[in-house]
Amino acid sequence: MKFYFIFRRTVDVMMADELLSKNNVSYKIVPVPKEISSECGLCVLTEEPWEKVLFLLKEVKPIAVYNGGKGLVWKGDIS
Amino acid sequence: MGERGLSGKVIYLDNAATSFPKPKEVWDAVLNYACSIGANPGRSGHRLSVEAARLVFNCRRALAELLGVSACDRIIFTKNATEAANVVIRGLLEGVGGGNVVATCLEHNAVARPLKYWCRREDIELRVVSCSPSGEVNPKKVLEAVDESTIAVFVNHASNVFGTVTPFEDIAAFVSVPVVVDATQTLGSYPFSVGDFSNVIVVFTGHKGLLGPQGTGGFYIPEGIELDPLIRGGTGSNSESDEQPSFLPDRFESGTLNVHGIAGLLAGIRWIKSRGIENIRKHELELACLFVEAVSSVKGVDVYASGDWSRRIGVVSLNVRGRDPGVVSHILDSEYGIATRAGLHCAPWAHRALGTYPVGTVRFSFGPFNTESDVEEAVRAVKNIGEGANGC
Repeated sequence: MKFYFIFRRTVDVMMADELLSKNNVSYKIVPVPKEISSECGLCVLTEEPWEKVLFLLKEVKPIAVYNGGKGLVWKGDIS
Repeated sequence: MGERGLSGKVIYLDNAATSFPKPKEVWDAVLNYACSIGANPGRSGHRLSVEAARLVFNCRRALAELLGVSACDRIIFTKNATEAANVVIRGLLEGVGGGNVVATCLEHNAVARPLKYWCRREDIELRVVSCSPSGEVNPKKVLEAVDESTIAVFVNHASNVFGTVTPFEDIAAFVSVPVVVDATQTLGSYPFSVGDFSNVIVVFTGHKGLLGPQGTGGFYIPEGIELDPLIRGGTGSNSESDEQPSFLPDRFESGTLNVHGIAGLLAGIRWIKSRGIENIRKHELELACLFVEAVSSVKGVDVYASGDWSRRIGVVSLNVRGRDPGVVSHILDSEYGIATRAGLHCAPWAHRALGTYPVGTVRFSFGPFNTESDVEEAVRAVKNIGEGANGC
């Protein structure tokens, strides 16, 4: 299962990159898929359990997590 | 080949204008980005673009650590400190209409000119705080100039003319308005930390103490201070909207960044960290001290470097009595191969304060790659020029 973590800013994607790399999570930085509304050109793609990854990324504040092809699985507070 | 006259050994004592040479690692990093990455950071999703974005992020992170702040997204890249100062000054003063700003008399034109412009335009009183005869600004005098109508305080952290440091901490701790610190001459070669101050904005350049390429610089803005950007445009974010993003750093970083420069700047910062800022400072100060001690005893030479050495950087101004500083600097270059800077150093307020306006001084500024032998050569040259001018 592919999960896409969407962020507001490129700098957030880079912070996520730093955190996931430190925590040995298997992930990739990829362009935001067209079917997902894009706030920023890049997002995090992982096949690991999304709840675990979301926990690691809570301080970076992702704005949404999508289950590739099956739509939104989690929405953050974007205020 | 368009260049000429670059043969022969040069002793470079103009590090306050730009540091030279830079560590080899800086140019290796620029070349590595140019040859192996090259892409536009964050604009595309391919691996090279991601790698470029990583590089920019790592430099942001390194700068935040250097400034002693945790929020690296509040580090904004500009092309130099002047542009950074302009964003900050306009952002703070545009539309204010009335009130006053306080600035030290040691401000560089990068700050002085936009301040003068916006104060005139917005009917703001510009209060310039004077310094001691040795070029030291007393923080208490700055605080005395602040009142309930003060919009912001501008503090030159170290004078590019006299090398004196103004402790911004002793000002920021006692005011609630923004304190804009011009750290152009200190970052990388003098201990620096924003610490817990929530009212300190820092303006910096990348090509002096940080040893990065020219065309790099920026500012740090703490949470709670909102500014308008100087320019608007593409940021690689919120592309569906024709409004400028409200979030940092994108709000201030329209258009493609100077990633070649940023790659070099990151290498420069890493080099400084590996050497230790305290060690670099000690080295530069020792050379400056040695130089001042030797040239102070030369008859007919006025050295503007008295005062507390713990509050100085490796910048020394002097004059040979009866000789134009421009001529002295030219003799140093043409006859001794010593590169200095003469004149007003873009800091007319500072020269007025020390009575060296309008002719200025000859400035010697030491860097991490200078040696005691460079100092000895410079002392010998100043002695010869001084004794020649004064008929000894």
